[in-house]
Amino acid sequence: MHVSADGYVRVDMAVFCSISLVHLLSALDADADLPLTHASGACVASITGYTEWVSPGWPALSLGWDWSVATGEGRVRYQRDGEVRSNVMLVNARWRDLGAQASAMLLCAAIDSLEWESTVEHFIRDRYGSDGSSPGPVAW
Amino acid sequence: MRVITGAAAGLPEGCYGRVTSYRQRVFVERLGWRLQVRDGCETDQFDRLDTVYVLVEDDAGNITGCTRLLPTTQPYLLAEVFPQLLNGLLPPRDAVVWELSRFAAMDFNRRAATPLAQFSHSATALLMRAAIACAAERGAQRLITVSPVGIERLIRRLGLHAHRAGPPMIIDGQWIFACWIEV
Repeated sequence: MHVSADGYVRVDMAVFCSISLVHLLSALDADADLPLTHASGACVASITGYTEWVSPGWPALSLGWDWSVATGEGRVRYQRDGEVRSNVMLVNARWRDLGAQASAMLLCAAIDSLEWESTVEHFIRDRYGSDGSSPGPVAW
Repeated sequence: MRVITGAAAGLPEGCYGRVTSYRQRVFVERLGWRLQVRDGCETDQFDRLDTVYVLVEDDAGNITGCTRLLPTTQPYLLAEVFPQLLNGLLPPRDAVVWELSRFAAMDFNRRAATPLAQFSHSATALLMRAAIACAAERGAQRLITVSPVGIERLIRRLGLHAHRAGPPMIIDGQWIFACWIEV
């Protein structure tokens, strides 16, 4: 594997699936005022955020996605929202690009098959649970 | 709202000073970045004669957003300060690649409900599109930018194709990464 001039790391799906991703960070969304929904007379905050994962070694595969906390059936569940963002371009057996859209779709399916939720949940609880600190504003 | 673009010497009188003052308010006062400030203005070594500025003004003439474009054929922020964000790739030096930096869309006359809303207001989309058009006029086919993690999805929300150049890294206490944007 190497980094192409366009910034992508090209791998085929078999190689990608053989790589163990490591959690890098997770954070709550930067909204100071979280959207509120009402349920059964109670005011419930909608909790959303993002998470970043990386492969060990070089070149690094970098993947991030948004998540939200869904409640139902008496339990709390983290779920992926939207596409996976990455520097990965998947290629076919002839080393041709599958394209950004197809790669993202396949990466989403791969992520959904991983057990990432509990890692994110613990990280978020550790990061925000004790002091209630919130993320800062957005600009770069 | 109106868009103004050009090198410092080509901007309307007093405009460059207002841009650097606006940057001081956003990046130093509001975001707490440790940047060089002189006489209430934030500037660095990349504010040069060939630096191109893009700014958005409201109807009253207040700046509500600004950014700057640097050709990668000359020294630029990512190559000089944050090359480690490129995942081992040598920093691009190519006439078709321009760097977008000091991007801010913050209306000090309007209280946004959330920081995300500040980013999402119309000046942001207008500024980003104007910056891309401005870069394209100068031959850019791709932009590269250093930004906090989280910006990539906001860029995508504007309907742009963007992808990261490598994993985020923690620098000066902030997670940042490099991001490619197709023009």
